[in-house]
Amino acid sequence: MSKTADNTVPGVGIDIGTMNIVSARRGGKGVDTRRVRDAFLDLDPSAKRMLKLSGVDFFDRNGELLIVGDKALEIANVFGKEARRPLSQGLLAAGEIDALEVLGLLIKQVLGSPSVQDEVCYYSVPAAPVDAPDRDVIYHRGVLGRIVTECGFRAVASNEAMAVVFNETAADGFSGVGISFGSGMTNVALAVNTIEGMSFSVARGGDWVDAGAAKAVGSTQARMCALKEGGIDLTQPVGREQEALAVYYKSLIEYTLDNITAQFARVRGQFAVPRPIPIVIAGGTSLAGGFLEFFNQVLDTRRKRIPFDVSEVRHAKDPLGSIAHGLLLQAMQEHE
Amino acid sequence: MTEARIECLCPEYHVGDLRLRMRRGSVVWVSEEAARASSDLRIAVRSGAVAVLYTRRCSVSRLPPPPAARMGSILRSAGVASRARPEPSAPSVGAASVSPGDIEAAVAAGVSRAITDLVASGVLVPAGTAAARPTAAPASTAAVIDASDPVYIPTNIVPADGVPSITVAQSSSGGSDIDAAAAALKATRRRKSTEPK
Repeated sequence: MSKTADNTVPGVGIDIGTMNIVSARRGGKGVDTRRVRDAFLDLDPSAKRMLKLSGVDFFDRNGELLIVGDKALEIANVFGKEARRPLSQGLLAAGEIDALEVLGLLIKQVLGSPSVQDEVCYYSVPAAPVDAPDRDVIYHRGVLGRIVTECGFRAVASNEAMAVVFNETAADGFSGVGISFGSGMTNVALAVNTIEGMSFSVARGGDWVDAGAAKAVGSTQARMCALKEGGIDLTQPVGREQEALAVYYKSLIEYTLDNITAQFARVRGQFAVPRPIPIVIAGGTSLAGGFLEFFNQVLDTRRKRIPFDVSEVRHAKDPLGSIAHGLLLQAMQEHE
Repeated sequence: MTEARIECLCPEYHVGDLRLRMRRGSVVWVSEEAARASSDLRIAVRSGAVAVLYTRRCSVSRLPPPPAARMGSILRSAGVASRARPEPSAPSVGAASVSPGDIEAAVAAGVSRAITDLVASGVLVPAGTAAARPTAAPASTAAVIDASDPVYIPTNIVPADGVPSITVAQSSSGGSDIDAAAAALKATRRRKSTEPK
């Protein structure tokens, strides 16, 4: 078994999402997590002096200034522009050729260099969306695999919701339902004793909630996002805007649970759940205040339709980093 | 010819009637008829263990850069047109005769087409022309392009040098949880592999 210079097991997991890219690696002192916003902003060359004065990192690409990462969102507000994202609704847009170079840059910065030769990197891929059959994950998986390989790793694709199951259900014999409420889509996987019984995604996530609530009250998506992240209690919304957010959150949860029921019916003949299993929730969209309690309230209205027994519903220990940690867990297995 | 591209999505899977033993990430191509006739494959797809795509493999596959010797032979073969080629056997009575000049012209046209394809795909760079983008992967990455990858996946996405610095948020958490989970996962998989089948 190869070891790194810190005498730890090699392997790295990277979660490439619509809003954030997160990597996890076993370090000498614990698990080292690196995160960057999956966004970039292109500016006119005339902004160069202003960027230099403010100390913002940028680079020149064919006469165009590019700011990438967290700073892109901050500077976008200053210029009244919208930051661009390489991923749309959880998947790479085949037409966004410019975004590929930025994505490669972001992933390289978050991954770093391999610590041993032929180090394995597990990267997240969503399941195919059941409500958008024209969007397949083949191109997405291929490009991300190519980027990770070009960074010097042995790339292995893994379902992002299964990563949640691996990271959060060790005490349950790696049996449970993992739900990742992301920005662009929501991923679900069900497993019993590490065996994946079902996985799917729906093309609704935090962005869908923000867009729907904004349209309902005549506000902007950015404002809804800020409200969500600034402090809201979904179980006790205050004002029209928070109520709109709560309505769309409820719709998202109902939609996810209904699809769990529908998708499980398709595999029922081949897969059985012999005992009650937990539902574990991860993803940035689930960080809204009161989400867990809100989820339980919605689940109670649909519990009888769920085709298996739910032992409990709980939040991932680190909802933003759980997928990367679960991928790291799988990558470490390859080196042991 | 349409074929079935089978990719394994779970750690390990055995498709009995196709005699395939696959591990996560591995890709196998089988004929469409065999894939559609396989009941084990149908079960595997329904359970999510594998993904199947019925498609036609592209006739132009991206090959690794040829070694110097091969490139030399390709260049040499471009000049073969003027050399004498073995003449085909005499045609049977009644068939039109073909002159050696016609054969040489046909060979030259075919080689020219092949070289044009190689140049278009970036494998061969005409002398005196700078490549628009470097096609050779940097030595440190040792990228290997799987022949089964779709051709339209771009290469050289990650900039090799001159990478600007980007602020990345970093944090560390205790490793005991992941170590315990890793040990439990290893034990679970070991238990499954030793269980009698």
